Amino acid sequence: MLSLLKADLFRIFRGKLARIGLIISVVLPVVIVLIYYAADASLASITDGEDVTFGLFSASSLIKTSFSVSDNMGLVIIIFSVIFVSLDIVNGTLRNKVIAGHSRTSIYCSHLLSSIIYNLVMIIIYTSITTLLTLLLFKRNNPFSADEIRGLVYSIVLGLVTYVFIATVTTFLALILGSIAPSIILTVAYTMVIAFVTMIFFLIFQWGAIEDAERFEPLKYILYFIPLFANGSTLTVAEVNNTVFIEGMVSYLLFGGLNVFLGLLAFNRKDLK
Amino acid sequence: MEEKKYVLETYALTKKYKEKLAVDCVNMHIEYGDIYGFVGENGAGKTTIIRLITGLANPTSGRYALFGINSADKRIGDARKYMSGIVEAVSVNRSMNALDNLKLQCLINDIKKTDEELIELIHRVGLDYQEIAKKKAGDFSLGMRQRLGIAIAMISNPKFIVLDEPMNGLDPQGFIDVRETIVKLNKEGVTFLVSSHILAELDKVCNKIGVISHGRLLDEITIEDLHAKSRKRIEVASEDLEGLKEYLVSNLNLGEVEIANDHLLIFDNIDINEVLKALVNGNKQVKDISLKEDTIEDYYINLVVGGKHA
Repeated sequence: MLSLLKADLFRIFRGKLARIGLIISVVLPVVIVLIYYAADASLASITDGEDVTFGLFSASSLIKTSFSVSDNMGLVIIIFSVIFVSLDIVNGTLRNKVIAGHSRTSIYCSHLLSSIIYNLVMIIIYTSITTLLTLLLFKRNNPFSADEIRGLVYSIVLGLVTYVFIATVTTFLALILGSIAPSIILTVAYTMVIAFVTMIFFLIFQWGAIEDAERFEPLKYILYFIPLFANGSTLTVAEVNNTVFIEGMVSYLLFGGLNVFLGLLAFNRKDLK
Repeated sequence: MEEKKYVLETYALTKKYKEKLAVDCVNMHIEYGDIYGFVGENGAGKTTIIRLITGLANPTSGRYALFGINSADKRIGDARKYMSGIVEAVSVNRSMNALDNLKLQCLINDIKKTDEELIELIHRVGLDYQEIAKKKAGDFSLGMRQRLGIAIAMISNPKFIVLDEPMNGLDPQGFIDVRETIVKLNKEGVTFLVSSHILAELDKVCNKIGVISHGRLLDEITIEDLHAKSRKRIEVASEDLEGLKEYLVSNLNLGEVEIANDHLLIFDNIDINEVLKALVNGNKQVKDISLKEDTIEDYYINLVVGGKHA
């Protein structure tokens, strides 16, 4: 199993694609933070320093949203993660592992672990650069309040676990479908649907887009158990409480575990290409 | 590992895809030291059997034993560590160069090899390392990839190598290189299962063949037995085969003579020199005369195409 993990990491980080991903994870946060900074500076000059963006152009918001899976680096990580797993099948190198005597379970777990490692390395690089730059540039919103710091910690922990969960989705789809394009389409569509649901939720409950929003209140508890939803909320909702955090973690544990269980079950029965 | 007679034995191995029976109750036997040629038409079930024994596909029913270890046994993974192979297409990482591909396989097999040892292996399969050092495997020709695939298969010093259509995409020199590599490794104790539809190539390397058609193993025979069984014959090509037949039958008192494929075939146990002498004496014009015996191709044609299994 350890030898397989070493082989998968070698395969991932030796390739050109990993280098491209690394460049994106360094360049993208610089570009995004600078765009936000320029927009914030322009707005500040018009509004005389008053924040009219509901905290959207703040260090705290930018750090939190850097964990989003449905845009920017999140999408890059998802796509690359799917490609790395799929290429093992497409190139046929997965066959070499089976013929060499490795069990299907070891092969699956090695792919899962290498995807988790890749996802975390990429998101940590991306978020670290975002954090450094925002703390340097967005002085107006610093220092953070105690509530903001707590929310930020929740978001960071939930954000990192999100990318562990995403690895369970990408590994499952890539190994079961066995080809790059459908796996990418399904994973991206999945995160996009959740992002859309989160946005609707945000409009209803936070901005009061509709009257009698209270009658949708019970829906909240169901939605929080949809993986990625809790994370989406922590990124968009200013006040993150323990309930959101715990429900999010339970959801990841439950559905992540289910993905791995079903994935192993299907992969062990599947005839490989 | 227990010492057994067979490297691979299958017992009523069967694979069904929905309604299609791809492999039907196959019992095959590969002994230690064999170069076992697997012969069959496209879609006969050769690759499916190879996929089953390499663990890429699961049998619908039946089982197999690899180095004496049953396929249902948990130790089957340990048995596979002594085998390697190329199944369907060569499995190489196209974005890596040859050396990195071999390093990757070392990690998969959990073995340590120096760069020098790996470069030596690259040369052994007929690739020029200096020429390909900076080339990605994706930029290799099919033949070069095939050679790299063989190097990957050889990296763990396996005792049993499965090669599915190893001659595909190779030029004539490639054929010779692969054939020589197989024979050389076999002399070092490696057992081979080689599937191919280039029957002439199998004839040159195999000591045993298995003929498969429509998912069923029709026969297993050693080349020695095949030659012992085969009918030696004199083949004569001429413009006037009927006239020639009449002349030779009456002059040499022949009994077993027939015309097939634009040739006169003489099955009588007669010296070719006597036939030549008779032809000269009778001033008969012939285009060609040769002594022939059955090849794998003849055997295959008799069994599959000429037999009731076609």
